[in-house]
Order: sequence, then C-alpha cells, then structure tokens
Amino acid sequence: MTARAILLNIGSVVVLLLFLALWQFAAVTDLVSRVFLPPVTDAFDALWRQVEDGSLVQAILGTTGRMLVGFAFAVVVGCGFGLLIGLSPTVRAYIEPSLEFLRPLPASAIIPVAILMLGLTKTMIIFVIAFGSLWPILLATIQGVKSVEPRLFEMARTMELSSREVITSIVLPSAVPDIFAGVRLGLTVSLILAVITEMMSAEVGLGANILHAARSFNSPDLFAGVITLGLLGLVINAIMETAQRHLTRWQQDY
Amino acid sequence: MVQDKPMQRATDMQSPLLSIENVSFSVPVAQGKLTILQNISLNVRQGEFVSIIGGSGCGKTTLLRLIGGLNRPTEGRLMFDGAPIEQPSRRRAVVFQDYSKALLPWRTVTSNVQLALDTDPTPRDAATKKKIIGRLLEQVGLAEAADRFPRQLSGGMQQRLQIARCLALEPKMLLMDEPFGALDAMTRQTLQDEIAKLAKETGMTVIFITHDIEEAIYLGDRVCAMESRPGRISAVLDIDLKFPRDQLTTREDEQFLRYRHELFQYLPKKH
Ligand SMILES: Nc1ncnc2c1ncn2[C@@H]1O[C@H](COP(=O)(O)OP(=O)(O)OP(=O)(O)O)[C@@H](O)[C@H]1O
Ligand SMILES: [Mg+2]
Repeated sequence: MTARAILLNIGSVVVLLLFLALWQFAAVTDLVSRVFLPPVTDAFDALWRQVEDGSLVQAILGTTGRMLVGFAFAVVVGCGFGLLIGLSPTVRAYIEPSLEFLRPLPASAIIPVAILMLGLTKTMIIFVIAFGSLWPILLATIQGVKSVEPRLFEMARTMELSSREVITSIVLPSAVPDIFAGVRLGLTVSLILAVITEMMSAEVGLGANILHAARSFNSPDLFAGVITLGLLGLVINAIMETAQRHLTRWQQDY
Repeated sequence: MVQDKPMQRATDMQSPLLSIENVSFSVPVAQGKLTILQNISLNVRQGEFVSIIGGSGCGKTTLLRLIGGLNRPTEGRLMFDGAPIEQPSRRRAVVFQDYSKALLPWRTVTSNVQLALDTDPTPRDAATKKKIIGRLLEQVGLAEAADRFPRQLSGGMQQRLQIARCLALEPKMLLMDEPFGALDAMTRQTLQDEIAKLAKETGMTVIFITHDIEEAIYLGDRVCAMESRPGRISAVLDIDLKFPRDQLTTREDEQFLRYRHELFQYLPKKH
C-alpha cells in the first residue's frame, strides 16, 4: 500500500467514526426522538443479542438463500439467452425491441403481478428476484457477445475452430468483463428484491425483521437490521470486486 | 470444420503448391459491381518465398484473403496442394495485418500459442505442448515474455507472438499481410531476418505482402507487383540474390538496386 492509500484508509475510518459520534450525540441529547433514532450503543446491543440467540444467522441465511437462488436463475438464463441473442443478428432483430420495452420496467412493478399469479409464496419471491436481476445480466451479456472483435472470428476460421471452441475460447472470455459488470448489478438488485419481497411475505429474513421491528417501535432492532444489511452489502461487494479484479487481470497494465 | 482434402496430392516436384487460375473478385455496389481483382494468375512452388507489392488499395489484402479461403473468388479458381480452396485451413496460416486485434488479449503469450495446439486434431499431452510452445517462443524471441498478456507487449512482440501462433499450426504455407508495416525500422529489420531464417529452416512456403519495394526484394525469391483499379499483377520478377541475405551488403548489391529500379516503375509514384 502506498502512503496515499494508507492515508485514505485512515481518513475513511475517521469519517465513519465521526458519523457514529454524530448519531450517538443526536440520540443521547434527544435531538431526534429515541423512538425513531436509538443511540448507537443500543443498536449494537440489539445486534449482539440477535447474534447470541442465533436469530441473526437465521435471518441472514434466509435472505441470502433466497437471493442466491433467484440470482442463480438470473445468471443461467441471462448468460444463456444473452449468448444466443448476442451471437445471432436474426434473433436480435426479433427480440431487441421487446427487450427495450421490458428493460426500463422497475423490478418492483412486477411484484403485484407475481403475487397475483403465485401468491405470497417462496416461489413468488424467487421469481421476482430472478426476473428483476435478469435484465442487467442479459443486456450486459448481449453487449459483450456483440462486441467481440470480428478479426477474432476470422482468426478462428483460419485455425478451423469448431463452433463450440469459438464460444468457449473466444466469445465467452471476450465478453467476461461486460458480463461481470452485469452480474454485479444483478446481484445488487437481487439483494434489494430479496429484502422487499420478504417484507411482504411471512418468510424469515433481514427485511422481515426490520419491518417487524418498525411496526413494534423497536428502534434498536430496526437499526440493528439496517446495519446488518449494510454490512452484508459491503461483504458481497468486496467479494465481487475481488473476483472482478481477478477475472479482468488481462485488462490492467502490469 | 472440414479440411480441404487433397484429391490428387502434388507428388510431382514441378507442380505448384498453390495455383491461382484466372481469378477475379468483385463486390456488388449500388450501380452494378465493383471489380477489385481481375484475372490474377500465379503459381507458387513448395518452399518459395513470394513477395507481393502494390500501392494502397490495389487489392493485396483481398488476394491474400482469397488464398487463405476467407473469401471466395467470383471467377476463376485457386488450387492448393491439388485441391480447390473452399475455406480456411490450418495448413495455410494467416498472419493478420492488425496484430493487436488478432491476438486473444485475455490469454498470456504462452496461452495464445496454446490455442493453436489445443485445437489441433493431433492429440498431444500437456508436456509435449509445453515443450513445443517453449521452442516456438524461443524461436521468435519471446521466451522472456511467456507469462505476459498481449497488451503488456510492444507492437513488434505482438507480431512475433502472432507468428509463433501460426508456426504452432505447422502450416505448409504462411500468408503474411504487411506484417511489419506498423513497426519501426530497427524492429522491422530484425523481424525480416528472423522470418527469412524461419522460412529457410522450416521449408515453409511464404506469401508476403508489403508496400515496401526493398523489403519485397530483400525477402523474396520472387516479387509480384500489383496495379490498382482493378487490381492485377503487372510484373513478376525472379530475385537472384544469394542467401543468407544481409541488411547491409544485400541492400547495397548492384543487382538489388537494379531490381529496385525495375520494380519502381510498376508502382504508383506516390504511396
Ligand atoms: N467488401 C468490400 N466492399 C467494397 N469494397 C471493398 C471490399 N473489400 C475491399 N474493397 C476495396 O477493394 C480495394 C482493395 O482493398 P484491399 O484491402 O485488398 O487493398 P490493399 O491492397 O490491401 O490496401 P492496403 O495496402 O491499404 O492494405 C480497396 O479499394 C477497397 O476499398
Ligand atoms: Mg491491406
């Protein structure tokens, strides 16, 4: 790490501590009513209690479990169809206009439709998560596949590569940076949708906990939930960033 | 993908490895068609080094693509090793002009060469492949850079890599499209000598496109000059200069200068 990076790291910790101090100050002095804003210390006490009685782990597993299942569907369908659509100009001509219509639809708009069709079930939740996170992955895959350097296809012909070899050795690796950008976006969307949908259903999870705490004016638990979600997002992002850096190593200079 | 099967293999030493017979190539345009190549005929013997020169836009790349099988002629035919050329083949390796676009940027130097071996119908075990790659990289002077990615290489190194990958195919014929056009004079001379040496060592037949008269003479057993609009061969010159050629003495040779003089009149005065 360079001196500059160390300084920046220290700086970000200082800002975080200042923020927590401000929060504590506002709560303790009743600048904001404790009903809405508990002191930091209460929130972390509540968090610790949830860790001890195991409810936190259960909630995290519930939320991330549904999120990952839905997300996995989105990755498989998004990459599969993205490859198909991206490789064939004919398929693209037929499908792209419909995609342009569906794409800007906010994922939350389909929740009522999904509830109507599937009820307040786990299937509904998974469907909504998969549907919502599908779009960024699909569109990014199409984009990545479409923009493979044409010269590489000619090179492949001169080496007599089979269609399968062209896809595995040229198209997919070339599209990886685009696909991964879409996958990261999709993962963010899937976490959001996992939280929203469980607030509507009876599943155990972080979103449900937050809603429950809010309804019973239990602000420490409420904030404990929010903090957990924040940390979860942070962890997911860190994992994805590491993976991305590794996968796109060849794009970096030295 | 199918290889073009030799129906009657060229057993006779005299029969050419490649014969281009009255080939024309035209593309449809708004008003009728545009003839890019007209009535090209040329025979290339096994092991020959043929340079093709011509001004920009005269159809050199188009001709090379026809030989490679990337495009089909609209008239005439091309025969390779006794069979008509219908599609690209591993036996005719192509060194593309734009080397940076023809490499796989996500693969290291080693792994780029490996592509040619992994897709070879002849199965080889990993150790053999590694040995072949090592030898090839040594041959083109890239052994030190084996683990680097293409974007971490200079232009000359990228072109060397493309050549190494083509050599891994063990082709009968190497088709090179202005391979050194974008390189500085020093790198260019080094690579010229390397390719001349490689061609002699392997006995490979080479078709070498350039717009540099001296480069064409320096490397070629024969030089074809092309004229443009429509593209056709205006002169074929046998080059009788002894091997190995030398950047200094060969280029000062009186015969070399005479060839240069003679070819000069076939080329557009500004290029
Ligand atoms: N598919 C095509 N459609 C229309 N014109 C084409 C096509 N391909 C090539 N041409 C034209 O044919 C001519 C010959 O092109 P080609 O690329 O073979 O030239 P070249 O001799 O390789 O030129 P350079 O030295 O600049 O590489 C050019 O005028 C080009 O514009
Ligand atoms: Mg050209």
